[in-house]
Amino acid sequence: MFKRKKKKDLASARPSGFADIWFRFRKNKLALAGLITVIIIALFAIFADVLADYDAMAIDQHPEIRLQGPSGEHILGTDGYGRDMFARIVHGSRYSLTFALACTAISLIGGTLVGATAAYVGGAVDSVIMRVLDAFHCMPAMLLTISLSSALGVGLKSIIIALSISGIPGYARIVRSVMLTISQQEYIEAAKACGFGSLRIIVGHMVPNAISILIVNAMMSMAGLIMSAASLSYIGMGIQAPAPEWGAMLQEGQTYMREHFSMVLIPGLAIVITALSFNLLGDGLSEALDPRMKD
Amino acid sequence: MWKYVLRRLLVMIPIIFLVIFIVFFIMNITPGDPVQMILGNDPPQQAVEDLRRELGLDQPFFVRFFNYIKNALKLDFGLSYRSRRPVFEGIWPKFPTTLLLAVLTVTVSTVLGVILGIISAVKEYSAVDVTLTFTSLIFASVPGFWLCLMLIIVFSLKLHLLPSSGVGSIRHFILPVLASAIPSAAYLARITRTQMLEVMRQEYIRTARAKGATEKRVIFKHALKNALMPIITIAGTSFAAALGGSMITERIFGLPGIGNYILTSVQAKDVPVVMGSTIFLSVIFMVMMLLVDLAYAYINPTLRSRFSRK
Repeated sequence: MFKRKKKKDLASARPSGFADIWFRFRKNKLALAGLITVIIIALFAIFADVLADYDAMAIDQHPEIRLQGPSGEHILGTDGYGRDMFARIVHGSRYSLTFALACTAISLIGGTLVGATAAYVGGAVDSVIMRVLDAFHCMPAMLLTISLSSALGVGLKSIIIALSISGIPGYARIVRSVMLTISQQEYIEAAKACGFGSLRIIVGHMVPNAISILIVNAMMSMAGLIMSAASLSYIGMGIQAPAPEWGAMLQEGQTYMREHFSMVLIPGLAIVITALSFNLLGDGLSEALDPRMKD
Repeated sequence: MWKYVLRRLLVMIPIIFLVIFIVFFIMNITPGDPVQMILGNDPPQQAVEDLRRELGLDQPFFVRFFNYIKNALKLDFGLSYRSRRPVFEGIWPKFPTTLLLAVLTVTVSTVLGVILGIISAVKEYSAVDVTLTFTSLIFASVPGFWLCLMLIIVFSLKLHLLPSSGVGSIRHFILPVLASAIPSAAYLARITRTQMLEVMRQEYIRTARAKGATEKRVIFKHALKNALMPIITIAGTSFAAALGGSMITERIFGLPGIGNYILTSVQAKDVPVVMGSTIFLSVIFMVMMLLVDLAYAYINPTLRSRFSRK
């Protein structure tokens, strides 16, 4: 009975790959909600100019309509300079998504290079790289980012570099340990026994197996990056006002928080919703990509 | 055991040097001329040259670096650009505030997190469990500084219950501690829940139950003891992180701790202070992590026996 059931399951099992992952991902409703929210935020960022004109609504000041509550014309109200909150939130999503994507990509590439070098070369090189990574690990992360961004100056580019550099040691550690684990797996031995070359083993077997772990970590780190970037801007070391960055908006809105707490509520909720969606998406992906969860 | 301690201490030495090098390098590329900062605009030529020599700026990078290390080992991190007083004198008096904040934060978050985690695990899939799990998921996505602002709005501005900034009484610490402790309690609750659930599935739990132990005894005597291992590591790490990571919290609540001091110094480009405090905090972080590992090795019988046999 058990055996037959197993066979039937195998017959109905989807081919391993994208469809298989999607099948498992779809079952997790929270993760699905996270994915949909991320897509909506991405659409907001892409079509920000269509939804609200940047200069006219998010930057130009209109003192006569300052600090208004939500209305048909301004669905989230206006801020202390009479700028439309909705327009600023929508344009702010561009900053947050840019930080998340750019920093993750740079950290991932940098971390993979460093970690793979350590794992592949081994010996003294590995020891030196590991000690340097340990040293980075000992410095409080936020402090490292703040010192880096003060060294690089304010602006979009320097925040991206500062956050990316802070992210490299983490990925390097993961890549190194994953590479070392994978290289000892039996399927790598089997591939070697089949007479495959190093390139085929690395590209065809090691990378695909390492990549799922990296994707999950990248997704999880996006939420953290969005929050760190907002914190940097909030303390005045990132994107500067009047740019509609969410952290910078919180810094400005703080002045009015006694009477108009929506000034600090709305940008904060934007950060929380975005970070939460990425966390849910990451959680779901880690379940969907983890082969042990296969049923 | 002592061999393990000694080995760990020896490993720390090169890492401390590397930390100093990284910090020194970052600060070296930071724009801004210290001479101009101290003397202001248009100082006399002679004064500029004297000061450059005094600060050692006329020497090459590595000479300055080795001089810095030599002095740093004696806790001499140079003079602050702003006050012209030794950096360490500025840092040390601010340490108790940061330490108190970290101790309170970790105590509150560990107690809260472990209790909620146990409840969650024991009543798996109950309404309490689902609520706790979802809440901890949300708090993982709330930026610390925004939580500070929200607490101020609710407890200071609306309810007028607690002061929003300053020091003086323990009441001034309630909001900062809550702001730092809630997210980490949420995280700890999640870990405790997973750990407890894993331990509860072990065979020795079944054995304990089969022997007729009460549910209370099974949970607290058998399961919790084993589940606590990784929790100790996390609590230790979060204590170390609280020491270095409460900059923005200290800033928002106006607490005169090291974090607040660093932020002001970064913004004033007071390089020696930033360097000194970063190194100070990193070394404390390292010592904390070492203590956590030692505590772990001490508690964990398998690790202890491995090192005592050698």
